[in-house]
Amino acid sequence: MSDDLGPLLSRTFQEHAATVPDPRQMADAARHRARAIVRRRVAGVVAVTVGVVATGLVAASVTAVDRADSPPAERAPEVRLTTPPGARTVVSLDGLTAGAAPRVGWLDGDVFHHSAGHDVPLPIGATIAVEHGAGTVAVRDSEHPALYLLDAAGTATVTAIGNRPVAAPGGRAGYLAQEEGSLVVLPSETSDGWSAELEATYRSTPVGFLADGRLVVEVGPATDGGRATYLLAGPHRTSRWRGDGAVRATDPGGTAIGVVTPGRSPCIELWPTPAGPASWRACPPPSAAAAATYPDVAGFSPDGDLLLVRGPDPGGRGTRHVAVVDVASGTVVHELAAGDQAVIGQALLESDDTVLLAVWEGGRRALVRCAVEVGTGCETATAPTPVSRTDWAPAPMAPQR
Amino acid sequence: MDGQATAVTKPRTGVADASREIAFEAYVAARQRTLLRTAVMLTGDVHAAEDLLQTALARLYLSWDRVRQDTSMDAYVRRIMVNQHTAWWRRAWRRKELPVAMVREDAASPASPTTEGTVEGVAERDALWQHVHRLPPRQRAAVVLRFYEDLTEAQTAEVLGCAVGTVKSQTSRALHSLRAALAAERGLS
Repeated sequence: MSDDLGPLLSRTFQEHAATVPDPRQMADAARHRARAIVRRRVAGVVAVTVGVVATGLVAASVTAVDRADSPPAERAPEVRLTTPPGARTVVSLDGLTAGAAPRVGWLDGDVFHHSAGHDVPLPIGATIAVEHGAGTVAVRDSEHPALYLLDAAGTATVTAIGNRPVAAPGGRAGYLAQEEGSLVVLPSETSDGWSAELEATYRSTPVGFLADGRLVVEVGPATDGGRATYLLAGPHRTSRWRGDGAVRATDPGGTAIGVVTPGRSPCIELWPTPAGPASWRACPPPSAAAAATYPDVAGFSPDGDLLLVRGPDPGGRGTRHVAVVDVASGTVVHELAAGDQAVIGQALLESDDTVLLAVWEGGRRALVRCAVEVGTGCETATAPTPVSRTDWAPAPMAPQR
Repeated sequence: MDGQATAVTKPRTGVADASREIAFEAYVAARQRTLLRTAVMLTGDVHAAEDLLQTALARLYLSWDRVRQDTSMDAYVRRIMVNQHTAWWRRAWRRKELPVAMVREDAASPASPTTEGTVEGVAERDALWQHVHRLPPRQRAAVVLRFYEDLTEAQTAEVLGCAVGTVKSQTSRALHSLRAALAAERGLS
């Protein structure tokens, strides 16, 4: 039996194929279905567009969330993200003491180090992973990305065509199911799973969860530069966020969102709730060359009191500085700057008190932990390992945001 | 900000597309029988297979102008069928249904013992057919493409949208599962 399974399979298939009746002419039915697909897509676009431009009667047919997410009437107060004297730390791998392992999951080659302490072997070529309970959602990114739901032992329970996984504390996780054209939120211990169909799935990016379970999804940019942000509360509970800009981070323990406004000199805004208004707005200083600028938002602390912002990173291969900002006031608490030969890749608030940085410096990489409190110093969370700048993976961590 | 960032495919109308319509009809007429058989291999059920093929042909119709530049429209349709079937399977999984639920219990036995070997041989192939449709969808697709369509590993990889190594591992895992299932069945009988 062991060697003749192939021929036996072939014969089995051929026998069954011979029993398949000739189909009726299918071209008309296929055309009919194609037109139905087009009508469905158009109807979806019209529904969303109407929800955006109209109020009152139409809004009632969308969701209660829509009415709550009305645009702010006034521009938020402007703040300056200026580092106070003595609140700047230069990060270098040289001379750092070895600290505890990261408290978030992180990728190292074909192994995902889960925050619970166990290692999950990943499918070959997986480059992105987030946690889902004791398991992992891993992605082998390519033109046709393969997505794997792995249990704690690394056994794939589901394989799909999908990408862009996102996760939050409490076991929430989701991803983009590309072929299905939908966004899937996986079941957790406290909530059911669901999926919502999306238009232009390939241009959609799930940003993160809010504490109430809503998932923020960015769609775009389109060829005309347009983009939109949606708040998904379930398969049939979608509303559009009406601010101007892209939501780049969500507070998984609360309702706040971090926003980057469009334009050549983007500002960042802090919205305590998606309904707004923004509580502050930070734009590049007139003389940006003399000061650090922060055109992007990296994430919130678990308690939602701190926001991590990052400096320019045009190629996605690292920035020169990040800063911890007090959410309430919009003031810089601590700036972390890369040393002369270093760059900072992914950065996240590991806890309410610590920041984790993926650092490359002079042919070595490591995850570095720095205290939010100024003067407390930094330590390595993983041992420095030789790697070229080209081979360095700047985003190895699994953020829970 | 733009009112809507998404792009949609517009319905095609007008006489300019007449030749396109004829070409589409000709392709479907020529290939539907073969493609339906592949769909049956994937789904294990004629009705589900017709639905699957119709969906794939609808997608082909919408992408006709792009796909017809390609010499392998069959590969495109097979890929859509494999991916769509995987998606259906995933939806069933999310509803906590077992993959085997997509197999009709009344699937016809394909051959009679008088024409196709011994009673034992037919029973074994029938059992094999059932086990094939308990495989995860990507593994099932791999064995269908390799042992029914007789595609090479590279061609199978193209349809599945994965590396050749993945085809090898998916096929290997599928064969291992099938051998184990048949061995277990023999042990019981």
